[in-house]
Amino acid sequence: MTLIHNFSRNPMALTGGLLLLVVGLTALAAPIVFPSDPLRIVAPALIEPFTNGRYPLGTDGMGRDMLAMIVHGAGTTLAIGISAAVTALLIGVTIGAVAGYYGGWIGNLFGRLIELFQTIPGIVFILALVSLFGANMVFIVLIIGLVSWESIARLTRAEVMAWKKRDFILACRATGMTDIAIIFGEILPNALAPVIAVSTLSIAGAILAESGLSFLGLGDPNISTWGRLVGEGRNMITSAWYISAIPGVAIVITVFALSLVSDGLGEVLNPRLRR
Amino acid sequence: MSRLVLDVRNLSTAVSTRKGDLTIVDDLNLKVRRGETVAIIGESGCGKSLAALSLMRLLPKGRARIRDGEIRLEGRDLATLPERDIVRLRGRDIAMIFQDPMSALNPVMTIGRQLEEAIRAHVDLKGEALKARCIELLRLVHIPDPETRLKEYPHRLSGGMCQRIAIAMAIACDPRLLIADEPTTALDVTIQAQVLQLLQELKARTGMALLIITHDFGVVAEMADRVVVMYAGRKVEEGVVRDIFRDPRHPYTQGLLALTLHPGQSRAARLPEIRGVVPPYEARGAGCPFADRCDKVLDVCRRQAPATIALTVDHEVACWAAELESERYVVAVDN
Repeated sequence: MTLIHNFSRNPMALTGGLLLLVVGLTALAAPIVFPSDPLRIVAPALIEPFTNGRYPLGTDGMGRDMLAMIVHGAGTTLAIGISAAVTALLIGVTIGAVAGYYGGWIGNLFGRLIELFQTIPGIVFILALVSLFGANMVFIVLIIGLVSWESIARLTRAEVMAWKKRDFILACRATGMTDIAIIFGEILPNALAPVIAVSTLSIAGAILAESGLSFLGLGDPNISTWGRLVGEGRNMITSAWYISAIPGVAIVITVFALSLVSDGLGEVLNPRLRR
Repeated sequence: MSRLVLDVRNLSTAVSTRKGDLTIVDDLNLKVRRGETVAIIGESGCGKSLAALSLMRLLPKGRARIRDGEIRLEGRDLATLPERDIVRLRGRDIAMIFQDPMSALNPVMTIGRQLEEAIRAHVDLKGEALKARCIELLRLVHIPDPETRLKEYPHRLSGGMCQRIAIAMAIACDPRLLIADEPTTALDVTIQAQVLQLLQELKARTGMALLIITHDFGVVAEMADRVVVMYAGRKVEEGVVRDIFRDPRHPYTQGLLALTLHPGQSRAARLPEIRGVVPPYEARGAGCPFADRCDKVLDVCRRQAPATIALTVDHEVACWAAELESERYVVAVDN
């Protein structure tokens, strides 16, 4: 409870949290507010936003309701972001913890593995893999997770290295606890706070990566995300800029909110600042 | 003679430095019998903590290692046992408590969780039975109101309480031998006495043997049956506590005991001291490491380190001067 209290007293974090709440609620409300398929053609093409009461955000080049597509896109975009970030978190924490806990050749091997992934340009790697294996949504999520675990792993590694030197870890080893029990039961609960903060940011990173992918036309064609909407508006950017701009704004707001929340969590969860 | 719990033979532990390996624990022999309390005493840096960590096989990986010797715990040699088997023995057969109780507990976990983890490392208990065992352990170490304490975090407890919890965790699986590395050094004097008393009581109740590492002769007098005096990584004297206090034979032991204050001692007089400092490990020659600080130094002391000899059945000393002084029949100990 004190966590939520501290969080809500941080104005930036609170702003971010509320924005995120709005996006989340929008995503949940989508099937209720717009029960029909958002990709259906419902009106004349290219109604400008704020000119028609029935289509407040206008229609795109094919006459689809922009608002309905934005609202439905919120869910898929968030879901992709979160699941990619969870993938990255699982890979990153595991590899980081092993790299940090074990010295010797195991620690070195995993440390080098982290460095290897650090040198790979993420978006290029994603493009290469997607064009190679096809644009399936599950696959895209996994690939985004696969290229973005490295920062989480580095942080986890540093935290674990610091915590494993503490006396209580020696005491735990003296009671006969196994390495696995110590890493996951004793060290990670201490080390996880900053990792969680960074992971929030990696949701934002994943959303941006997916948007970039969709913008280039390499997203899953069966799923409508904000990035895809931006991409579809690209052809008409000179005549109807708003088709790209509106989903673009949605992405910016969400990513902004996530980075505010990440900063806020970093402060609230930091044991050194905790009272 | 009752059964041996711990039988350490010729244990040498080396620390690796940039200049090469330094032997910090040098050829240590140590026996602990069932239900016995043995104290290892020595000043800071004499290798006593490293010896204790060697016994637990908890030496920092890559920085220190057991170079030689045997550590027989009820017959099994811990020095050569694979890591997997050692993990199974720790906590169940041999357990340890540490100097600083405040940092010996995980700050983000409740006392209850930590106790449960310690129990479940070896015993498969669940639910109510597990909780009951936790409460029983807290009662054993005299924590008042154990049911509520289970839900507390370590930062809400005092140092003495934390040390009791650490002791509860250490004895959770009824170890045969408990190693206490300066268990009271970080505590107030009044709390020290309580913790020592608690250790005595637990020992009497469970029959475990106790190995206390300390630099305080007061703790030795209060707790130990036998005492091992270490200097610069070597055992210089060992004996029954009464003998050591009454008739210390090694000049270092004599010096240490002379430092102990007595009630009624004149305040005007200067406290005796052992002159000089412990020679750094890398600057040691073949001779006795105490030679430069010793009042009774002989020529031979600088040339050759003295062997451990038995003055009586249970009084051993490693000192040339003591060997000469001794009129009693002397046999070299060759274990």
